[in-house]
Amino acid sequence: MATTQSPSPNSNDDKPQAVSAEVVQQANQVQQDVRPEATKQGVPASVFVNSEPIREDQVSNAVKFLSHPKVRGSPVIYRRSFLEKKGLTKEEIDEAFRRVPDPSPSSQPASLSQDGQANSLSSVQTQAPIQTPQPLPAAPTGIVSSGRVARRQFQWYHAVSAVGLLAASGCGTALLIKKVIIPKLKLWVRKVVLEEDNVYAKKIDAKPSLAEEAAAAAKAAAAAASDVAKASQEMLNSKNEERRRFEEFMNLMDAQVQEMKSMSNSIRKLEGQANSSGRAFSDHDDHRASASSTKQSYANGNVDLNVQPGRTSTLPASAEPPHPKSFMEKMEMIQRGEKPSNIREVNDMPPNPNQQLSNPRITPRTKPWEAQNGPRQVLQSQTSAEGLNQNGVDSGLNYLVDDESSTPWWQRKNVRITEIENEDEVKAAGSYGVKTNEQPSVQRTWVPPQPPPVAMPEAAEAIRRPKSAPKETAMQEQLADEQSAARPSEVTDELQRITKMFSTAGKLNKVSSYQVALKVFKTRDTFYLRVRTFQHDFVPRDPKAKPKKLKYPQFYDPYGPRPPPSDKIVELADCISALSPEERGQIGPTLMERLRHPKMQTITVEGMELGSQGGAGAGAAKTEEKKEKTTFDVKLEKFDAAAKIKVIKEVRAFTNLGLKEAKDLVEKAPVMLKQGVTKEEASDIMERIKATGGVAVME
Amino acid sequence: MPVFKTPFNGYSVRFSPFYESRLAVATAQNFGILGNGRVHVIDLASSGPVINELIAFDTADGVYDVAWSESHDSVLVAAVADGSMKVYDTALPPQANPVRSLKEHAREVHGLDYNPTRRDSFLSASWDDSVKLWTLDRPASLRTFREHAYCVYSVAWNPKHADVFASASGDCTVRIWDVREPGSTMIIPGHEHEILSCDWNKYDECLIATASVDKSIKIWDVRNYRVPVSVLNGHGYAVRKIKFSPHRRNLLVSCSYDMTVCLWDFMVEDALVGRYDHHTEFAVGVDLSVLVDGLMASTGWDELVYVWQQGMDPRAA
Repeated sequence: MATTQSPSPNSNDDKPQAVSAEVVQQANQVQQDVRPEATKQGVPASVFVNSEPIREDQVSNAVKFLSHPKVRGSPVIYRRSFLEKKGLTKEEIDEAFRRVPDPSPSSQPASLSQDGQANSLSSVQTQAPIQTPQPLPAAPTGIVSSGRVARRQFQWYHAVSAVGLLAASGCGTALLIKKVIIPKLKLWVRKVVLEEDNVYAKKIDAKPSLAEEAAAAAKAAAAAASDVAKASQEMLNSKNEERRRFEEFMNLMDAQVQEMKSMSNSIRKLEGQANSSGRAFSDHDDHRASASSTKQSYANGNVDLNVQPGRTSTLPASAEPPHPKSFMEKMEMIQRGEKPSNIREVNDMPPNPNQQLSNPRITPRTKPWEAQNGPRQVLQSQTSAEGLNQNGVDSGLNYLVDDESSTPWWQRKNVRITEIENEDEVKAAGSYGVKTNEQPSVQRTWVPPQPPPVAMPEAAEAIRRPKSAPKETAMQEQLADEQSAARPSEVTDELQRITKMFSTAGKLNKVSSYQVALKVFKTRDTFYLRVRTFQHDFVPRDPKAKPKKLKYPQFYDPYGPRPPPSDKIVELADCISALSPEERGQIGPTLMERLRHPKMQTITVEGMELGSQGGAGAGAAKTEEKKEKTTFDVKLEKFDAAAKIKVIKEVRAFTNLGLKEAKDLVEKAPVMLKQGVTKEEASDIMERIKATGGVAVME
Repeated sequence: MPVFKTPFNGYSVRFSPFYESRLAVATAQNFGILGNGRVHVIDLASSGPVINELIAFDTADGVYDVAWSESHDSVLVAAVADGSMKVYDTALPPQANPVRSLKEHAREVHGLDYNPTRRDSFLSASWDDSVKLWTLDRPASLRTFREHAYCVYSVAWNPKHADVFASASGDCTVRIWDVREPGSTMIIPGHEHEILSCDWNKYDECLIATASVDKSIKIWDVRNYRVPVSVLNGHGYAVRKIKFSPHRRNLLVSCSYDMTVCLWDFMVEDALVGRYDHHTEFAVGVDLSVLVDGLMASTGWDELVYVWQQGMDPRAA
């Protein structure tokens, strides 16, 4: 297959030239370096699209192929498939199809006259190369019009011949009908009439007979019929037994079914003449039932047989690998028509086609290749709530280290605990459940026992930079994170490089990557490598370090320093926490439907869910306490306008709010000041507020 | 290394993208020619080399492939040989499964792939020459890509470009499609025989590998697809499935009808890096874990599923 490409010479040719000259030209052009020309001709936006220009030699070959009379007869799809296999691109194939001349000879003179070549041969094959040098951009209209004219003539001619054919065939059939079919019809009609007459005569005879005669005749007939029925029944029974045996061994179901049918027909006839014989009926039904069921299963086997060619045709006959013996046995069995005995009827249809999928419990993790390609992609891609996916990446790489040094049965690091710890420190700022380290403290929670990174001052400054937009913040935080974890990231970057080296060397050394990392880190004590490409905060777990004793907050209290939520929210939360778990699980989807904002949904829903579930334990305890009336809430009803400042001061004193927050809170009165305090504290607060000039109520 | 014995012949095995220790296995009775099928969801126990079966779903016809959802951690899709696809949710009680039955293909559905970047859609490759695009929330397919001239054996999404995918077919070509375009954007006439599997390199979005009945695996660069980047020979029979490693740039794994699973590094002169011949029948399914570097699983017609760490012997105790 020619791998060289030639640029389209069509634009250069203005006049149709001789074929030989054309070929020579192409040969010359082929020898040039094609790549720069290909790129010059316009690089498409996507790499996954053919950027090569149309190759004339391929197209001309394709046209020759398509013009061949035998090829003409085959379906288009096979022609296309053949050309594709030969390596033609879609554009080239389309071009070849366009260029293939019309099959009827009447169109040729029209197109030839356009070419201005009177000497052209009438054969189809020589036309093809002559037509190819036709300049496409130069005279497309000329070709199209000639094509149209040709087609019109074509159609006329075609129509006339079609009409003629129709007329001829009509005459022929008319003759046939007259001569052959009508006599047959007449005979048949006469036969039917005769039969009817007979039947009618019989009926007439039967009617006027006396009842007694009829009864006697009926009795005799019934006796005879029953005798015959019995005899036939016996015959049937014996025959069926035999045949059942045969069925088991030989599977001659067709013959059996046919015989059954004839039997039933004969029985029916007998029954039709008599009136009784219920027994024969029932027996006959049984036989029929079994026959039909076996026939059905056989039919199923047949249907599947037809489907088989696809399943077995994946291998060329020449290189047939050794199939297992039982496979061959099964194939033969099925080809013979037997059904393997272990198949059973399974109903695999969904019991409820509108069943809702359960809510996802885990957010999707970034793939290892996405992570390495830079954080920008992670930010800009549509990932769910935990936008930066530090979570997932962390846990992913945790396992990376663990597994390289041990068996796949890993000891899982409990990520949940660190989450809680972080949230406790960070107080879950904002609706993004992201583990962003907004705290002014520079120490990160999971910094391993290693010399502290010196980049801290810069990181701290980066953190303190004003937050302009969420995206920018996230970016800055990433920077800060990355800078603060420069050491660990450098270590892991080295890790990456080393593993790459190892893999490219062709061996997969089972070197503990952690040991490697330690080595690298020790030798590069003072050397900083601020690398942007590897953004992880992950640091390998130090096996020598004692397990950290993690601090859990007493209550999962999301409403800590913030102003307490409005009553409406509190009531909502009470309602939600009073729901059963199944109902709580339904909150998410219904809320999603209401809100209908994809980005908003995932974050808020998750936050809410986590909040409701995580706080369910603590919240339940709290509400229970309230119900038992051991804790009380203090509500500020109103205050003197003059005493506002004093009230604010008091509120600040026992809520630890800032000045502005306290002011807002007080201005919102009536408002809940403090919740979950004992009776003494509540009354104390009330007194103090009264002293300043406000009115507080205990609940 | 643990082994899981399935009652039927294995066809495909896939690691879950959410749980490191979870896999799904697609099996079919009577080698998939005729009979029932079953999807097993299995879990690697953390204590000792044991594999537990979490749940199994029976189907009326053989299951040829299975794919985990990238958006829901408990949802998986199974490709059934009667042309339908069943969606299962392991978090729902077993009586509620399957959650959906998507039947549009006229012939067997042979391949499935879930979009790893966009996470919401998946493709099905069928022997009725078409590829269909689906999402979990719609009962009907979104797009049908019908251009192949013979059975489509496998589809693979590009790991970087969420709209691009490749399909490998028995008409000996691989087509690259863009879901935004009406037709295929590129045709790679890769082999002289049927192409059974294709996969993209996770770290270089222009590299695609194809495995064919002619026992070779070829790596192509779509920017220059006339000549393969590399040809990997070494299998004794047709290569059934290939998968690029999600953790290493140059590594890919393949399984073949010669009952071996081979590891290749295509940038190296002597590309065969590892060979595992633990199966006693055709090895038809292989997968590498995205979450755990080096963890791989394979299944074959000998009704066994092996899970082992690269470099170790899968049959070792």
